[in-house]
Order: sequence, then C-alpha cells, then structure tokens
Amino acid sequence: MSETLIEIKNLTKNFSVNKKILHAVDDVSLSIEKGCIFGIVGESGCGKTTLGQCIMRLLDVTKGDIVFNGKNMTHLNQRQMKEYRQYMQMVFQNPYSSFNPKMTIGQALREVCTVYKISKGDADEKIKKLLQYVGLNDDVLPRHVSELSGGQLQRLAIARALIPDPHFIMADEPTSSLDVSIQAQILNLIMDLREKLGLTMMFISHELTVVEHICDVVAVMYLGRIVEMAPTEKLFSEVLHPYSKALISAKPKDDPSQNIERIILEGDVPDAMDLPNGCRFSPRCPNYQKGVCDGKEPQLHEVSPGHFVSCHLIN
Amino acid sequence: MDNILSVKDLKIDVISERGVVHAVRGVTFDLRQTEIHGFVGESGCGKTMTAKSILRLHDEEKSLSSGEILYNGMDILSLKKKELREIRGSEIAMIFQDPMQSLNPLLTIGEQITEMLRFHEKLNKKDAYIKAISLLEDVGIKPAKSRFKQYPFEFSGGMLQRIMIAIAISCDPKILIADEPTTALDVTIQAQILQLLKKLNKEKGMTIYIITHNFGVVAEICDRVSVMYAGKIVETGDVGQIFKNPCHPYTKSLLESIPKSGYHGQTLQSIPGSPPQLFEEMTGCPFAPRCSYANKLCYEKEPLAAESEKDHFYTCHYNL
Amino acid sequence: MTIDTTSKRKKMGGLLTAPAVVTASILAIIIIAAVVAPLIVPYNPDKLNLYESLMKPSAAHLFGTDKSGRDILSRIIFGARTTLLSSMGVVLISMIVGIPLGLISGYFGGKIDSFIMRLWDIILAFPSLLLAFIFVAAFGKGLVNAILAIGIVFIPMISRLTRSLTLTEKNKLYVQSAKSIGYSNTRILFRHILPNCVPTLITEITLDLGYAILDLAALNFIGLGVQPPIADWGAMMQEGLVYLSTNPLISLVPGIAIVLTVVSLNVLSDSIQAYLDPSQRKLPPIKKLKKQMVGELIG
Repeated sequence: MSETLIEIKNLTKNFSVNKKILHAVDDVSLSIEKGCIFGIVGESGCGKTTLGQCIMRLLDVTKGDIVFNGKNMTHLNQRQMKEYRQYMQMVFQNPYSSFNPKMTIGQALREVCTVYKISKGDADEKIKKLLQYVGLNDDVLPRHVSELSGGQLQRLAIARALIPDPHFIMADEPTSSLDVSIQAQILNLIMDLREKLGLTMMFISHELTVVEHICDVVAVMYLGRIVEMAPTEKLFSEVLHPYSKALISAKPKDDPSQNIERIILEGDVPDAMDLPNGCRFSPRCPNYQKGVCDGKEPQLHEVSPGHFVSCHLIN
Repeated sequence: MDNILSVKDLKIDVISERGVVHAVRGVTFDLRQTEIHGFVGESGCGKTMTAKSILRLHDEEKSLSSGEILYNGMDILSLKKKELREIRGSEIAMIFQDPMQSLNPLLTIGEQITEMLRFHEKLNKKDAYIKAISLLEDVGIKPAKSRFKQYPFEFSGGMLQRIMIAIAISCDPKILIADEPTTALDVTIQAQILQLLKKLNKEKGMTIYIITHNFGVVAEICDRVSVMYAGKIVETGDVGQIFKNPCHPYTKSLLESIPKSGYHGQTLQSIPGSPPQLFEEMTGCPFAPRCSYANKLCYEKEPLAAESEKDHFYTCHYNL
Repeated sequence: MTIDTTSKRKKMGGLLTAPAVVTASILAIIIIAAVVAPLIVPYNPDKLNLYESLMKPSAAHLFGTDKSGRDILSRIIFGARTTLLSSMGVVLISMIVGIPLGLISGYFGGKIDSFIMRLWDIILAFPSLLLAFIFVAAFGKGLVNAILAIGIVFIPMISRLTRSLTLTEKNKLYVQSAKSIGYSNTRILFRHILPNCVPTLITEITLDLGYAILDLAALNFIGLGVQPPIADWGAMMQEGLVYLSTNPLISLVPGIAIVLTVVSLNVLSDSIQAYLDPSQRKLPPIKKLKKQMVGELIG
C-alpha cells in the first residue's frame, strides 16, 4: 500500500526502581504506514504511555531503534531532535494541564510560530485557519486555560499540534478525560483531519470502543509487550490471544439486550518488576499449559496476513 | 414494588468562588426496593451532588438545600446529626470513585472493616473479626485471613474497591449508593466489580443506586435509569426502554454519540456546544440551546414530565 | 441570583483583604517617605548641632534629637532609604544568583544538581550572621560589603525553593508538551517554568526583605555595616542604647520602625500566599448569601 512512516524495532525501556528493574516496555516492534491511525490499547501498567513517550523521544530508550521516515532517531540528543520535532507532534490526555496556566491561548499558539520561525503575518493567518479547522472562534485567543472547557482546550491542543505542519501526531488518551458528547466531537475532528491533511497517527487508549471506531490497526499491550496486533476489523472479529479475548469481552454492553460471553480473568495484573518465567500472561491465562507457557517468552508471529499474535499455543 | 427512598423536589445551591451554583434544580424520583437504579449524565449535571445529599455528605456549610428526602418515613434533610449517623453505614451506605483515597492508609483493612462493625452493630472484637473475614471472602478477597492484616497500599485499585464494598455492606444496609465505582478502574476489573454488585443485589436484595457517566455500565447492570442534565432529571425509565426508545432529545443524542461496534470510521453524532454552567437562573428547557428540535416554546416554558410508555417519563414539550 | 463574576475584579477582590490593605499601605507610606526624603525632612539628617543635643520631643523636633544634635525624625526618614535600598540589594543578589541556579538544578538534576546543592550546603552550614561577620572581617567594613555578605547568605534559601518548585513543574503536562513541540530548554525554563514559580517566589521574597532588614540592622548595630554618618535604623538603635533611660526615643523609634516594616512584610507575604492558595481564599460572605438564597427559594 503506502510507505512506512515510522518503524519501531525491538524497543525496550527499563526503569530502575529501588535496585530492581521495571520492564516498562519490552522488545516492542511495529511499523506505522503513512495515513494510518495506529491504535495501542491496554490497561494500566501495560506500558502504552511509556511507549508513546519513547517514540516522541521524551524519554531515552534502553534498547532498540526508532526510525522516522528512514532516519534513525533513537540516539539523537535534544538539540538534534529539534529538527524532527516539527514532523511529530503530540496531544496529551489532560487538556487542562497541557497548556501553561500563565499564558493566554493566543500567546501559547504564537510561541509555537515563533519557535518554528513563522513570520508574524503568516502566523496570524495560520492560527486563524487552524482555529477554523478545529471549529473555534478567535475569541478564545485572549483567554486563559481556566476560562475554557475541556472540549475547547483539546481542540486547541490539536490546533497547536498542527501549527508546524507535522506528518505524525501521537495522541495519548486524548478523549479519556472528556465527557461522552465532547468525546464524539473530538473523535469526529480527528477523523476529519486525517481525511483533510493525510495525517498519520498513533492513538493510545484504554477504551476499546473508541479504538475500534477510529483506528485502522490495533496492537494490544500487556505488561510491556504486544500480545496481538492486527487490522481493526480482524482483531475484533477474529481475536486470538486469550488476553485480547478477555479484554474485548470485558467491554461494557452497547445495549442491555446484548448477551456477552464474559471472560472474567482471575486475579490482578502482576507486578511488572516481578515477572513470571516464560509468557507473562501465564498466571492468569485460561489456556495455560505447563511446560510450554512457563519456558520461553513467546514472540510475535504472523498467523494470517497482517495478524500477529504472541502465544505459544496459537499458530 | 415498594419505594424505599423518595426524593421530592430536591434543590441544592452551592456557594463557590465564582458565584452561586444551582447544582440541583428540582429533582424528584423514587428508588424501588431491590432495584439497581442508574443515574447517568455528563459533568456538571448534578448527579453526584444529588447522591451525596442523600446522606448529607455534601458541604452543608457552603450550600443551601430544600425539598425532601424520605426514607422510612423520615426526611433525611431534617434529621439531627445523631440520627443521621445512625443511618449512615447501617441503613444507607456509600462507595466512591477512587478507592485509594477512600481508605485510611495508616490502618489495616481489617481494622477498617471491624471499626464499622463495632460501631454500628456493637459487635465485640472476636465476632467482628469473624464477620469481617466472611465479608472479605464474599467480595472475593482471598486468602481473607492473611489479607485482613494488610494495609491499603498492598492492594490494587480493583481489590481496594472490593474492600470498600465489603465495608459498605458490612452492616447489611438497605441501600448502597455507588458514585462512579468503576471509573478509575481498568476495563477487566470493571467487569469484575459490576458482576460483584449484581451478585450482592441478587443475594441480599440490596437496592443499588449507581451514578455513572458510562452508558455501558448502565446497560450492564441497571434495571432502571434516570438521565440528568443541568441539575434536573430529563428522562427516567426501564433500562430496555431507554436504550430502545429514548424520548428526550438529550438522551437520544447522547446514546448516538457513543462509538459502537460496526460503524468503523463513521462520523459520530455529537451535541454542539457544551453543558450550561449553572450560575444563572434558566427559563425554559435547559437543553434548548443545544437541541436540534428546539423552538420558541422550548425557550420560554419549562417542560413538564410526560409519560411515553408505562413508567417511562421524560421532560420535553414534544413527542418526538 | 448572581454575584458579579467579572474575573479580574474577583481576583483583585481576593487580594484586598484587610491585613493586606493595611500592611501594603504602611509599606507604601514608608517607601514614599524614603523616595521623597530630601523634600520632606524638616532638618538635614547629618547636620551636627551640639547645642541641641539630646533634646526631648517638642514641636520643633517630633522625636527629639540624638547625642550629636541631629533631628531623629529626619534621620528616621533617611534611614528608611538606607534600610529599604540595602535590603533590596540583598534580596536582588540572592535572586540573581539563586533563581537561575535553582531552575537549572531542578530541571537537569544529576551532577549539576548535586554540585550546586553542595555549594549551598556549605553556605548553610554557617549561621548567617557569622558568615557575614567573616566576610566583612576579610573584606572590610562598610554598607556595600554588608549587603554582599548577607546577600550571599540568602542565596541558598531562594535557590532551594526555586529548585523544588521546578521539580514540581517539570513533571507537569505543559512542560512535557513544550518539550514535544520542540522548545529549547532555555525557553522552557525561563518562559514556562519560571513564570509559574513567580507567585510562590514573591511570597518568599517579601519575607526575605524583612529578614534582610533584621540581619543588616544587626550588622549595623555592631558597627560592621553602615558607617557614620549614614542614617540607618540599626545603627541608630545602637547609638541610642546608652541613653535608653534618659532619651528612650533615640533607640525606640528606629526599633519600632524596623518592627513595623518587618511585620508588615510578613503579614503581606501571608496574605499573598493565602490569595494564591485557592482553598484559603475567602468566599463571599456566606451568611449574607444564604439569606438572599432563602429569600429567592421562598419568594
């Protein structure tokens, strides 16, 4: 189809906590095509936010490579990264705290223009155009963060991210703290911008319904690893990995008459610092087979075109 | 079915820095015995304030309330502090959104459960211990005996919420109020907790009053639902009725704005604008500014409740 | 029913509490007096007039005269200049050095942070006056050296405060966002983090002005700071000690001036802090509001 914009190879990020090692992201590989909205889904502690921060180079990587448009960005220092930041922008979960509370919106947006050397005249025009894109008026410019709603702020966060004309947007739970009706507005906006501007996106979320709705490809993460990855429709209709199955079955009903076969997992997510031998899902897995699952860590392998699973028992 | 709790024309005004907020503007509803009743709405609609006021847990210093909350023939709003304390926990109990914040980090969970039992049920240490162990097992905390001695920081969010539930039901309350009990939890844990609440409702006949912004939770366990907007209830009905046949334009739009399976990539229905800030008095229907069906009457006159099918009420001038 | 909610007015309303207004007025009077001193003093504060020494308060001399016949009121007014200027000098030195180092230390952490913090530890190991004493003994007496000495002593406090504020701000989303947009560290530190530290820093600086006045007064009191004939409140106190039983005002008046200024600064600092902490902000008068609300509910 189209070319690969981002390639992640064997990305690992460890934190040392009190002399123990926290494997936040462990050997993650994936590639994102141009124009694709790539979804990462998982529960708390699965490493999805850390993965996002590593890709955006807000954190240093322990091992592995991040290749953006052919250029390996993994070990660039912050000054060298500046060249590339223009092409990759980020939208965060909490719209209220992603803006400097002491600046007006106008100041915040103009600052981006200044740093990217957009002349004042062009800057004003650009801001006007972007505000229109995201459905807002000029009257938000003199306001401070505290005077605006979550929905307006998230639109502004998106507008701000678009100022440098990026090719890629990383969205870390962009709608999780918004009300349902506002969430719908923002999701519509994101889909619309993808159409209009041909943006590539990575969409991190814990909400399956949202991911199913707007992502083209979805990767499910558990304890730092990708356990399943496939085009959206395939993942939800032909789900294979036992964890993905449980996750999808735990989705609340769309309406009360639905009868869902619930797979309720026993126990809680284990400690990321104290991982079991072999497959990290084995303590909770309904298909656990002694001798197979507690030996080697399973690797992601392709079971059908585009559909990858990490499980010893699935071929 | 009998009503176990009746709220009549509840109004709560709260004093805040920016002025007086009319948080609850005339809420009337009944809770039926043994039902699971969900209150849904977005931020600022007044659902949490309404729930808190049932046990008078809202800040009474900074607010003014009127109306009645009738339980067992008494108006909770006019009870003395001592009488209120008797009801709290033993007749009506409440669990909150963030279990991490609701438990005392310095006491073991065992101590926190037995404290409840010894205060309300006047049990001695030994009996309280036995009951506490059985409660922990009921809510799925195993092995109960060793976990009894542990501190809150040694448990995950989901387990803490189960412990909260154990504490809440320890004195066999007739009503359990759950304020966004699963919002802070992961999806798989949410499923477990909702299943637990359903089990408790069936086994003990406990009425559950659950507040949420998530229709999925409602679809999962509720028998009846009330939808709130701008401090008032705009629609009430059986959960099946509300999902199949939503009558109020707000309910309709809200249900349509939720992403569902099978509509990948399609534009979601969204409601323009945002919910009103409740500083001003409002004339007419509060949803009118955002309603695609609104006309002159809607802005002038506040709609009264109409019944669309048995026990299904909504406040709109029109039958759409 | 609405309360006037225009946001600017609401914000200022929070700051205009009685203590804040009173203390700010007192300080304003002192500052204005210091600025226009030459215009308002009844006498030349340095002029010796031994014929009029040690006079009691009278219409001619409101607070009397000191041992050299100088009018105390005039010296108090000029003393305000010395006191205010020198304390501001102290605080400025501590800010210019301490704030940037605190920002850098908190933001970058690691070896730079350790190094800077150890520097401060060395300074803090000495009682502040002792350190000033040593400095002055090494470099000579005089007001400028006194200001430098106390200024250095004050650096660690402000630097550590800035550092801890930076540590908090650096983890906030707007800083992450600024990094992801591609802003340079300098820009992030000075245009994003620093402005968010300013409110708390202002409270600290207001307090520090008071402490600077006290420390300088102490140095001047023991003769290591300002040298005669410069009028200074601390020095005046020392000069008047001998005459405490006969002409108490010579020491008392400058003493009261110091206390008044320092206490006003402290109270003002508290008010600023209370204003900045939304939970402590005074709400509109609740009882009055409730009466109105009840009226509306009924009628």
